[in-house]
Amino acid sequence: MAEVRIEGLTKYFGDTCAVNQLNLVVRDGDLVVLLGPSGCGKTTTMRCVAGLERPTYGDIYIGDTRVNDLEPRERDVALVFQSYALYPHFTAFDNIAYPLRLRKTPKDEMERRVRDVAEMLGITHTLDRPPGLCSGGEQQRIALGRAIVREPVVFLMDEPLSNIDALLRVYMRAEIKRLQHELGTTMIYVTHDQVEGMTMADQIAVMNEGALQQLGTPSEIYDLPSNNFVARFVGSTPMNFIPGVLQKENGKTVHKSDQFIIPVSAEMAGRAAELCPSGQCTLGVRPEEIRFTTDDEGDNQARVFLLEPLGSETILDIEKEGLLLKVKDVASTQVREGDNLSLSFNRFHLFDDNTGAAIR
Amino acid sequence: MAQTDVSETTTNEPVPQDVVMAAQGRRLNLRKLLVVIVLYLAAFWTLVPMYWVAISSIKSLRDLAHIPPRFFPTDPRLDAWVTIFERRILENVYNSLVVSTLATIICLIIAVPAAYAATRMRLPFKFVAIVVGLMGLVALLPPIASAIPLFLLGSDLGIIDEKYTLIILYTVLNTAFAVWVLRGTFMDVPMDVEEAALMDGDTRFGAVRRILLPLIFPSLFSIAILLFIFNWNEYIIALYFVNSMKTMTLPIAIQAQIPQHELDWGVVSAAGTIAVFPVLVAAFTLQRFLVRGLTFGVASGQ
Repeated sequence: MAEVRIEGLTKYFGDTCAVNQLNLVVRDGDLVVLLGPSGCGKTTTMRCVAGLERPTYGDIYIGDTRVNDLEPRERDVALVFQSYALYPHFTAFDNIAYPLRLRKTPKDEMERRVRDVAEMLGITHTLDRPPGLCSGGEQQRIALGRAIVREPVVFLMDEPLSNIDALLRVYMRAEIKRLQHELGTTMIYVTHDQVEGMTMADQIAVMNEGALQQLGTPSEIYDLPSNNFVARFVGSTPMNFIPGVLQKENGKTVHKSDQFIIPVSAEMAGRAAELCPSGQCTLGVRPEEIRFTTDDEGDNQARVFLLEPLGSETILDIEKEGLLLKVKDVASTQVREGDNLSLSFNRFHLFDDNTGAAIR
Repeated sequence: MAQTDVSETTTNEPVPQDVVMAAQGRRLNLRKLLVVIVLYLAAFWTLVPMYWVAISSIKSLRDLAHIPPRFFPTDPRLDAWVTIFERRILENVYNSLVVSTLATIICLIIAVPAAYAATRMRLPFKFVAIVVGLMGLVALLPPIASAIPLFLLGSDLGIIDEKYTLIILYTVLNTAFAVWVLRGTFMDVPMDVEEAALMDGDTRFGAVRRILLPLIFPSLFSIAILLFIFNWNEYIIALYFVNSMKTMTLPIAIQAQIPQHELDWGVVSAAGTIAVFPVLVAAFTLQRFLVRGLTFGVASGQ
């Protein structure tokens, strides 16, 4: 078990910069999710930790050892591939036993450990079969078993759930999290699925264009996004963005857009004056933080043009002068399409239009 | 009543599934039949000459000279076979076996690492493209174009009429082809599987030996047999480099059965039959492996 420390990691492929000056510390025993869209450098970062790629610049430490010049086999990290990368010409047993075989583990101990792991993962019945004859979920577990059996210091997971169907994925992500808790082994988990990230992680590292955008707990990432990229990327119904400008009206600061006038607290206004003197900023608000009443009067009127019922809640699609807002209605009020609503904005964020950074 | 029944089935209900299937099945069967006919024709076309050579080796002289040609010998005899063994054809078989086998093995020993490097080592793309392109060019070069310069080189070095010279030349001439084919095979194996082996604690060499090569074994075996057949059949280079019984390979030996004056087709046919036999065996083995190569699932999970 060990801490993983990434210092100033930069990786070029030819002229393309895949990872740019990344600093990240994964604490011992933590499950850190590298989250970001495809091409953001998350997989490259993980492959550098694995030893499958060499960093162009920067250092990687596992525990106290600088591992830059170590071969993958000298690092004692296990990797679960997106494709599982099982050995098709071995049985499931031999797949799981392979790392132990390479370490010249005695036969009876190997047998025992493989069976223990298979039992833990519920795949004892597949052990005699080649992976080609196992279901997707079973193959996934065999790949996990192969990683777990040798008790590595760090687990690396490269989108391990993206090839199994949606229902199984919900179970498997809980299972991986449980396994990680039980084993207490540091894990770096790469995914582009923000739900996976939110549900599994101790810490989420959001990446974009090769750079770390924010590192924090899932609730920090959700409630206090550090910039508009993080705000946009996290949240299954995306955050609403309203471009506008901060203005003084009657001695109070408001966020004025073409559609709405939204009062801003004095505290926030003070920081905005300091951080974003131009006042040009976009207001971001989560769908569940927009309150609405069905009266025809009042400020910030807008019309519902579509309902998206999800069972436990309904998403109201609201339109005003070319601006679309998604509002979560958890109380299942009797709003209908075409109704006019009066909106109020409960908790929101302001993002500087020039830098994209949150004003906080 | 019957009237309404009919209208019901035609308008309201969709055409029953089994009717549709039967119609499709009929069309498929017709296509299948055509394919089978074409295949039989092709097989006939290919096999008749072999059959002809084989029966010619046991025909009497009268049968051989008979017009119209006789497809079944009326008076079979083994004279030609006795003659061909008296002329020590087995020594030629031995020469061919040694040269073909060794040239094949050495060729693969060189080509496997070369193809691996070309696909897996992340060499600069242009470099690989140029080297592999040149190799393709060499593979396409007709052997006669290089035979004479090679002969001059060989006689300067004094290595004409040696088996090892043939082995070296066959190795060199086939390596480019082998690298080409192996490169395609390696590219079909996902990088992941090898990387998984590295992560599991294997060395690069170990990953190739324990994971990559077993995975491509059917293809590797097919390529080996192809190379063997190339070497076994090679004539042009051998023509220049063989001077005596010591090195004479089968194709040259067959040609040597054709003297200036009386031509015994029976003897030539017997030699030809001997030459074809190992190729036939190889082809049957190859076929089994080709079928296996196609169904052997390398990609997993998707």
